[in-house]
Amino acid sequence: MLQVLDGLRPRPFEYYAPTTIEEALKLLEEKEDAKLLAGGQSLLALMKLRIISPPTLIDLNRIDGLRYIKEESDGWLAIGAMTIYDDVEQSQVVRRRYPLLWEAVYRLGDQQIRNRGTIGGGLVEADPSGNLPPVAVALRAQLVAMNKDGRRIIPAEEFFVDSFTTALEPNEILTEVRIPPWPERASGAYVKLSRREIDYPIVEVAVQLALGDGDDIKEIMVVLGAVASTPYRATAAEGMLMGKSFDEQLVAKAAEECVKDLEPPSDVQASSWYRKEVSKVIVKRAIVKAWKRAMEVEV
Amino acid sequence: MPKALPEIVDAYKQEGKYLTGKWIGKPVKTKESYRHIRGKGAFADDVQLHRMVYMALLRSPYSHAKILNIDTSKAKEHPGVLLVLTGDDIKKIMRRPFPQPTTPPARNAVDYPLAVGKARFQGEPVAMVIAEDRYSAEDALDDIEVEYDPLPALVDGERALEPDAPLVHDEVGNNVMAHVHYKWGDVDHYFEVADRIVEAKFHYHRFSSTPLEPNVAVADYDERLDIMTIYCNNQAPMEFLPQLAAGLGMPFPKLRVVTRDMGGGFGNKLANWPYIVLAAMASKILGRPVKWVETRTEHLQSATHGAERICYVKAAVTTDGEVLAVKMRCIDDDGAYARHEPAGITVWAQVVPGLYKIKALENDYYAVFTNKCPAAPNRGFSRAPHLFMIERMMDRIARELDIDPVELRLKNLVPPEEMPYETPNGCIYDSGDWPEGLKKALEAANYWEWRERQEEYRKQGKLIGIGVAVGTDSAGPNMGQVRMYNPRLPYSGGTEGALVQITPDGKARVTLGSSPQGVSHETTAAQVVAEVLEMDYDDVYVQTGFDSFTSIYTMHSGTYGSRFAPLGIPAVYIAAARLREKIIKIVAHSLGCKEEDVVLDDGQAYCKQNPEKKTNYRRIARIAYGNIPELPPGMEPGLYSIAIFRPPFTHPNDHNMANLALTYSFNAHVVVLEIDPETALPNILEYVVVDDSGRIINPLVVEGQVHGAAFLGFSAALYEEYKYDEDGNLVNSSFMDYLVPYATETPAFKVIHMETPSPFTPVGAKGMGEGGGTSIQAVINAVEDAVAHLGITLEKSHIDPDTLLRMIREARGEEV
Repeated sequence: MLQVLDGLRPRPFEYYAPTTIEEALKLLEEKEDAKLLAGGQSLLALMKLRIISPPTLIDLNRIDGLRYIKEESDGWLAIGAMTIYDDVEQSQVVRRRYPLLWEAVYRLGDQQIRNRGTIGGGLVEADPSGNLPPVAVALRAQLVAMNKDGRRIIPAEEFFVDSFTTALEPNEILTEVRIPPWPERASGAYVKLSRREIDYPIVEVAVQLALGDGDDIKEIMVVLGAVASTPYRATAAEGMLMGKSFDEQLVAKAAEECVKDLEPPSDVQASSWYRKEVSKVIVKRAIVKAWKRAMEVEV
Repeated sequence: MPKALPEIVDAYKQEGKYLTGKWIGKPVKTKESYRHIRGKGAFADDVQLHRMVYMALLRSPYSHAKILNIDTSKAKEHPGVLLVLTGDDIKKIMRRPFPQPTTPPARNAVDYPLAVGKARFQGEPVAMVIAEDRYSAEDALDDIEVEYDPLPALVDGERALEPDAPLVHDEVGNNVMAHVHYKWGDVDHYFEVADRIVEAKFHYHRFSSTPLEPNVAVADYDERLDIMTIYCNNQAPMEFLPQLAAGLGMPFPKLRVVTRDMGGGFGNKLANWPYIVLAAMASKILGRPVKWVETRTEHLQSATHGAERICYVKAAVTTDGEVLAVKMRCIDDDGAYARHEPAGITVWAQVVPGLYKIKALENDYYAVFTNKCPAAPNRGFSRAPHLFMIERMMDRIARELDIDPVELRLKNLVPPEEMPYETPNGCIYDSGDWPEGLKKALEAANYWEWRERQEEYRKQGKLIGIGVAVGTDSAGPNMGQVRMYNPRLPYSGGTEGALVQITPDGKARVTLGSSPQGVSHETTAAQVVAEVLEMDYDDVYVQTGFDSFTSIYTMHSGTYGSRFAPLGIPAVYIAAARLREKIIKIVAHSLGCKEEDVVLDDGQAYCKQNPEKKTNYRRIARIAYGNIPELPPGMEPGLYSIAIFRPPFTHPNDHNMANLALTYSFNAHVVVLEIDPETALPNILEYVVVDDSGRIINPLVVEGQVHGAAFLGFSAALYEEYKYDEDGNLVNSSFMDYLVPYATETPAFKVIHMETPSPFTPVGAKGMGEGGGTSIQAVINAVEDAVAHLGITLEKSHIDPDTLLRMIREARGEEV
């Protein structure tokens, strides 16, 4: 790939700023190849570098009612798609109930990015090394999509189809992320490995687990990011740990098992070999951390 | 080598008669900060002119390709486009290509600001568009069609010397930009008598300092006055003015070059003149001001990089750790054009033996062309890579002799009693107590304690490394050094100019020959003027930046080579001292006493005998500018003072001997770090710097520079590296992939100051901004120390976790 970038200004595009979701959906039907503008933290950078040049932008920032974090009566947590990362990071509910989501957002970019970037944008972008996709899968989140005819719910595990590709239809807008309640003795951890804190991860892992009566695992989700085109669920490792009591050596074995079939990509930051090797390490660290949190021996 | 001869020392000696310590040495608030903190800096991109138009450049995606055809017809039709030029057009407009500093056959290389015939590095401009606005200019680039015929790329400096290597410049016939064989002292003798020969290969990698502000040029040709004004951020405008004058066919008095605030330079901005020439030619053609602002990717890909250096080093040592002599074979990979390089092939000679009593040294040294971005200075230019070779070698020798690396250094450092010290090639190390400085650093970093604990940590599976390096920022260069690769270059000595004027209202106005890059020249110059003229710092106004219509310059003027403290400040001091002497004469005449009885105090003046009867600068200035009969008879009116400081530098002689820098500051870095054995990610646990840059003019400024230089090396060693693939594509040309660490990664540097004044500058200050690259060698020494027990050695000045983890696994016999 030859990388010669001509400038820092986007090619010409049409810009719309609807004030209702209906209006936005209508524009989305009408305008071919239009892109939705949420926080713009990736989209605008790509446009300025002229890597992509969408003919039309539909700005969602003037639509009221898409920025919220709500605990619902049935225990689900609903997060509006236009909720900025900083809101999620500052939310005590998120931090208490889903520490891995808090960690993923806390470790996402820098404060300027967290002030503009949105949770919906971060999911819909489906960047293979984005912080949010593995977390959404690990938490078994549901994603609410709308088109002009109504809404449908897509489980996170089915949402990420390929790199930068989701299950959303061209006429759909993601409006909400819904996270189910987990049992009382559940917790999670998000660990990313990067050379600088601000960077996209070289590898990342989101772990969510629930304990039985003792320190045994009743439910567990282990999901890696940046190692494949979509979030990679390490079911073999999960299987090895189900029903087991806390055992760091077993975790290390499960971590070995979980990377066995991985063929991570190579890029300028790390080789495939390095990604695979350090995947083991951070999977182990993340599971131990999540487990200790669930046992309440570590925060 | 011995202590320098007294007559040499006398020739260089300077005295500061008017130093009271009232302003010098004080942490006064920097003059520049007030505007910068409010976001009101005056940078080149802040220049907005009536009818201004914008330049954009189409750049080659190939590192090496013939240009078969360029079709600009569509771009010319693009709305808003005023001018489209290709390399062939530029060739017709410029009467000849840029003059080459090299000797034949390298001199045959043809260098134009737009590629002619073939592109020689990825990102080389091949066409330019001028349009009414920047969007149109960039949009029109899409409409230019270029037909390329890609050629094999040359991306390896060692490969460049092989007979079948691709040719970067067909006109040259090989890839040698320059070659010098240096030999000082009886190297062969020492290699014969040595107990042991230690050998190593080292590789100084490609990186740069990535200033926050990229290159910028605004060219404004005024047809009415026939004056070309260039606003730019070049660090040494006088270096390129001859090229510009030749390119435009205009005399110097018609060419006004202005620099203002600069967002960092580091040497990277010494070679941005090809772009300035393009903007200037376009402005002359169109009769309108033309602005060009580089993007970050353009900067990373095609501005300038620090040269890459490969050295094969052999040291002749005794069993008890005396380093007698060194033999080297070095290659500088200077990229596609000689646009400031191959100066680096000579500049290293300012610090030939490092800080040690090495008696003899030989270096067979090549500079080569490759299909990579042209190299130019980068903070620590050429001396930092050489000190890297020496400091890394000291660690290797210590390991081979089983001596602590610190003991080895203490044994070989030039001792204070031998200062000023003459090196084997005739450089004069002016002053310092280097062993004491190193000891201070070791103490502050708890060196011996860490050494003891290191073994314990290893048993626990932890990898702790302790790295020590000493360095010098040789400063105030003798430009005659370049004559070692081309004896015909009309360029030698090292000078700087300044003007100090007391204006008719009694305030001081100062202009400098330097082009400050954010290094607080306004502040330190004002402190010196306030000190010498005994006036208030706030009453001294220093012109921001350089202006060839108002600044006092020589052909050396600029900000590079850590030269402001050793050359610029003396010019300011001397100009102020001369003015002081004139003012005293006026006061003596006016108040009726002897000159030696005149007292200057806080902008006022009186005679010792009658302190009640005071005059002040305002009244003195009124006399000097307007009330002439009250001046002493015969005295020239006005209060202007111009000075150009000239150290007694000479050309290098036939044996390449000369003093090549005026002052030698000292620093010692001690770093303790931990390498995660599972991920190989580094974590700095302790970082101590001892700095001795002579008399400190402003501790805030010095502190900032020490931190900056320490950061640079830490960053280059662990994060920053330009990576080219085998086709010559730069694979990390944005800040997403070219990793500059943030505060989140940067350790807290503990800085300790020493102050050994330089005998060779009137204020005693030494240059220190570049820092000598010491932190790179300290950090790499530390990383190697952390894994040396596994049998790992490091060749490069950069290490990333991927490579290091692989080395650790291999050393442990694991499959990788």
